[in-house]
Amino acid sequence: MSYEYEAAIVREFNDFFKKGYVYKGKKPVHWCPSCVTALAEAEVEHAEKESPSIFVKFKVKDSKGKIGTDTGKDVYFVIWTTTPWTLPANMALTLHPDFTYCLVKTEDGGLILARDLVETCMDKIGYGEDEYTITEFVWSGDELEGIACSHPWIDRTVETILGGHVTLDQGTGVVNTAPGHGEDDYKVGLKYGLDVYAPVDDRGIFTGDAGPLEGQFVFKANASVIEILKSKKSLLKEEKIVHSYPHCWRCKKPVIFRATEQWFISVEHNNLRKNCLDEINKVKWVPKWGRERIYGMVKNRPDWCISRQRSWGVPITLIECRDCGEIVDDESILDDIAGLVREHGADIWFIREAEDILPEGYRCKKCGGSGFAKEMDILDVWFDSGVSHAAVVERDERFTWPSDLYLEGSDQHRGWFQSSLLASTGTRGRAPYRTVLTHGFVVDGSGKKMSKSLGNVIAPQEIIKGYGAEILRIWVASEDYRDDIRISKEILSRLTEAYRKIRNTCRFLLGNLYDFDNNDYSDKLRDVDRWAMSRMQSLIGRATRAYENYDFHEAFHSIHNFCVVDMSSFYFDVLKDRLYTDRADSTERRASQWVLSEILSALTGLMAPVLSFTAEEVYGYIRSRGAEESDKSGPESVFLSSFPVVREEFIDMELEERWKGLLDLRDEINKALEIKRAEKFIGNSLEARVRLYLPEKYMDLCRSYTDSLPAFFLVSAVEIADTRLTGSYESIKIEGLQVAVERAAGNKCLRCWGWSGSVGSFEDAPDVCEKCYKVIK
Amino acid sequence: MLDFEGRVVVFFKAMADNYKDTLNLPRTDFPMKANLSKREPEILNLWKEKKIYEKLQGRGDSAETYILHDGPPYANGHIHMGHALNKVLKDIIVKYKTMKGFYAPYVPGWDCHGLPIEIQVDKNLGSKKMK
Ligand SMILES: [Zn+2]
Ligand SMILES: [Zn+2]
Ligand SMILES: [Zn+2]
Repeated sequence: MSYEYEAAIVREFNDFFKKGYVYKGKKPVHWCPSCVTALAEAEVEHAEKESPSIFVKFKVKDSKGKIGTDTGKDVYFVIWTTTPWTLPANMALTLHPDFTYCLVKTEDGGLILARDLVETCMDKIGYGEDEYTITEFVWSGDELEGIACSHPWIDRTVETILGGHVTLDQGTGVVNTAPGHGEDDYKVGLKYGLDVYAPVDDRGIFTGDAGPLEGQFVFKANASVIEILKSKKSLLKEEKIVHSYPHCWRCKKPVIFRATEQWFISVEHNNLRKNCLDEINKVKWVPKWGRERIYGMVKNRPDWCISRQRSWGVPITLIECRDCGEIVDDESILDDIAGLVREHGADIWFIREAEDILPEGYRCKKCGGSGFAKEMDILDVWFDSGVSHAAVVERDERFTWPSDLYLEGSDQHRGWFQSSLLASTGTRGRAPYRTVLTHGFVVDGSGKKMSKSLGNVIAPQEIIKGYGAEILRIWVASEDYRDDIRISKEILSRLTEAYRKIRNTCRFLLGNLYDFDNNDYSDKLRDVDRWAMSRMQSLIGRATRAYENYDFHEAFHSIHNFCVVDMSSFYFDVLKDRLYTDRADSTERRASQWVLSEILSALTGLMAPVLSFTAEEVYGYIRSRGAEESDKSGPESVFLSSFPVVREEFIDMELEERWKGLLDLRDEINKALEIKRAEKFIGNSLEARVRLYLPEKYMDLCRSYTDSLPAFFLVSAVEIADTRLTGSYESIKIEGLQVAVERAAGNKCLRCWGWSGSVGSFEDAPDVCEKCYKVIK
Repeated sequence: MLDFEGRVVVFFKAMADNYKDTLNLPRTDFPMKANLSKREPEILNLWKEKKIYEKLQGRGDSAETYILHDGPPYANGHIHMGHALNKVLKDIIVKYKTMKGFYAPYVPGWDCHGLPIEIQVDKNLGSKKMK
C-alpha cells in the first residue's frame, strides 16, 4: 500500500472520529488464551473436543402474567449447554419467536421447553415416560418474552428474550445467552441492551468478578460450575460429549469467545443507517435483487467494529491520556498525524512514541496530564478498502466522484459494497457509486464448485493458451453472469465454433470488398439490400440496448445470430451470384458491395467490446483495404473509432415483416430440395427448377419478386403454378404450400453454374448462358 | 478461396478454368484460421506500440467521464476463473463506454499506481495477463 493511500485511510478515519461516529465498546472475538491474542475467523480451525453437556433449569421469578397462575409447583426454563463456564456471564434466555413451547410437569417442577424437543430432552435427562406429563399450557415463543428468571447462583435477574438464531437441531429451544462469550448472543444482546459481560482475563482465567470461580482457567472451571449447579439443585443432567469445536491454528488448543474492548463506528449516529438505506434506494442494482439483499443487511447490521488485533495494517491513530483516558481530539493534531503517515508511511505510528507524535509539551485537555498512550489496534481491512472512493477516485482530478459503476461478485454486498457505502455516506452523505453490478461464481459443466480435490479446476491461462483470450472473452459474454456460470471443454468447443462462424462472416465481407470503389450507392439498393440494411439497424439497436443494460449475452447472441442466420445462410447466399458473376462495376454489384461494407464496419464496432482482438484484426484489414499506407483512412484502432449508431433512414419494419414470409417460404423450399438431393435427383440446387403452388397469402409477395426468386431460393428457375400440383412436397409448416422440384431445363452454364436454355446459343462461347455472355463480351 | 459452408469451393473448383478470370471471386489475406494464441500477443503489442490506451486516456479533458472503480484484491473467492470473469466483464464495459465517446479509465481500487503502464494496457485492452 502506498503512503498516499495509507494517509487517505487515516484522513477518512479522522473524519469519522471528528464527526462523532467512533466509540469504544465491548465485543466478543475468538480468543486464544494460550497465545493471548484475538484470532480472525480464518485463523480458527475446527477439531473434535470433549466437553461437558449439561441441562440446567432457571427458575421463573415473575411470569408477568404470561404463564398463568394454576400451573402448580415452581416453573423453570430449561437450557442445554456444552460451555458451563459461560454461565457466570449468562444475561438472558433466548427463545425463538415462532417456536411452540410447552409446560411439562415433573417432580422437579414445571419445565418449559420447545414442544418438538420434549421427548428427546426428557429421555436424555433421564425421565421415564411415566415420570412426566405434557400439559395443555402451550405458547408460541413471542408470548413468553420478558419473563423474569433467577440466575442459578448469582443474584441477577435473567429475562427471556427472542432471537431468530435459536434452532431445533439440538438442545431445548431455550438458549443460554452470554453476550460477552458468543457471537449470536452478542448480536441479540445488542437489541435488548444486555451488558457485554465477560469476567475472564487475557489468559482465560476468571477475574474477581466471577466470585467463587476467581483464579480458575475457564475449561477447568467447568467442573466447579457443575458442582455449584448441583448444590443449588439447578442441574438436571450432566454427561460428556465429543463435538466439533474451534481451535487455534497456531497452538492447536481450544479457543474461547471473549468480549474485549473494540472500536466501533455507530450506525445510529447522524442517522447513518437511515441515510445508507436512502442511498441504497437511489443506486441502480443489477441484478435487481441486489437491492433487497444489501438493504436487509444494512437494516439489520450492528455497529461497525473497526478495530483488529493484528500486527500489520493501518493503525487506529488515536492517542489516549494515561491518567484519565481522554482521547486527544485536536483537529490540527489529527491532521498532522495524517501528514506524518503520508510522509513516512503508517509504520511511523509504531516507531514513534506518543509524546513524539504530539506537539512538544502537550498536556491533556481534561486533566492536564502529560503521559500518553497510542492505540495499538489496527483498522479492519474493510475500512481500508471502503475508503478507496476517497483515496483513489476523489483524489484524481481527471475522475468524477461518485463512480458510475462498482462491479464484483455477489458476495460483496456483505463486503466491499457495504463498507464503501458506510464509509462514503458517513462522511460525504451519499453512496460512492451510481450503479452496482454483481456476477455469480464460476462452476464446472455440471454445476459443481471448482476445487482442486474434485480436479475440475480450469485455469484462465489454459484457456488463453489452448483456445485464445478471445474465446475466454466470448465465454464471459455468452453466459448470463448474474447466476453462477458454467465452464467445460464442451462449452469451450461450442463457443469456438460460434467464433468460427463470426470470423467467417467477417472474412466473406472482407473478401468481397477487395475491388469496391467506396462510392455511396445507398440510393441504388434492391429490396434484398434494403432488407439487409434494415436488419443491420435492428441489430445495432438491440446490441446497443443490451450493452447499455449490461446484458452482454443478449448482445453476443444477437451478433452471432445475425452472422449465422441473416447473413451466412441467406443474404450472402443470395448475393453470391451477383457478386461473383456480374460485371465487376455493375451498379447492382456495387450496391451490394456498399451494403457489405456498411455491415462490415458496423459489425466490427458492435463486436469490439467482446471480440476485441478479432475486431481489431478485421479493422486493420478494413483500414488498409486497397490503400497506400499514407492514405489509410480512419482512426488507427477500432477502439478509437465510435460505436455504431442506428441510421433511422434504413429501418424498414414493413419490409422486414414482408420478408419474413419469403424466408419462411425459402426454408420450406430448401426442405423440398434436400429431399431431392438425398434421392440424388439433383446435386447442386442450381440444377433444379421449382414449381410452387402458393397459399393466397404468399401469392402477391412472390409475384412482386418474380425476377429475384431464383436467386433467393438458389435455383435456376421458379414457376408459380395456377393449379394444385401432384406428386409434390407438401409443406406442413405453411399450410397449402406445394413445392415440385424438377430438373432445370437447358444446359449448365460453365461460368455461373446456372441452368439455362440459352447455353449453347453463342458460337464464340458455347458453354455459357446469355447473362454471362453479356458480362464477358 | 472461401470455403463458405463448403459450397463455394466445390462450385469454383468445378468451374471451367477459362471463365475463372472473368469472375469476381473473393480476395482477402484475412486468414480463415484464427490462430488466436499466436495472433493475440501481436495485437497486444500493436496496442502497446501505438499507445492506444494512452490515447484513450488523453480524452480526459474534453469527454464525459465514466468511472468504473475496480475493487480491492480479495483474499478469497476470486481465484482463477472467477477473477477472469470479473476482469473481462469490466473490460467489456470500459471498452463499450470508450467507443461511446466517454473518457472511461479503468480505476483500480487499490493503489496500483506503481504498475508499469504496459500492464495497465494489457489490463485495459487485452485481459491477457491475468493473475
Ligand atoms: Zn493459540
Ligand atoms: Zn487526562
Ligand atoms: Zn451463366
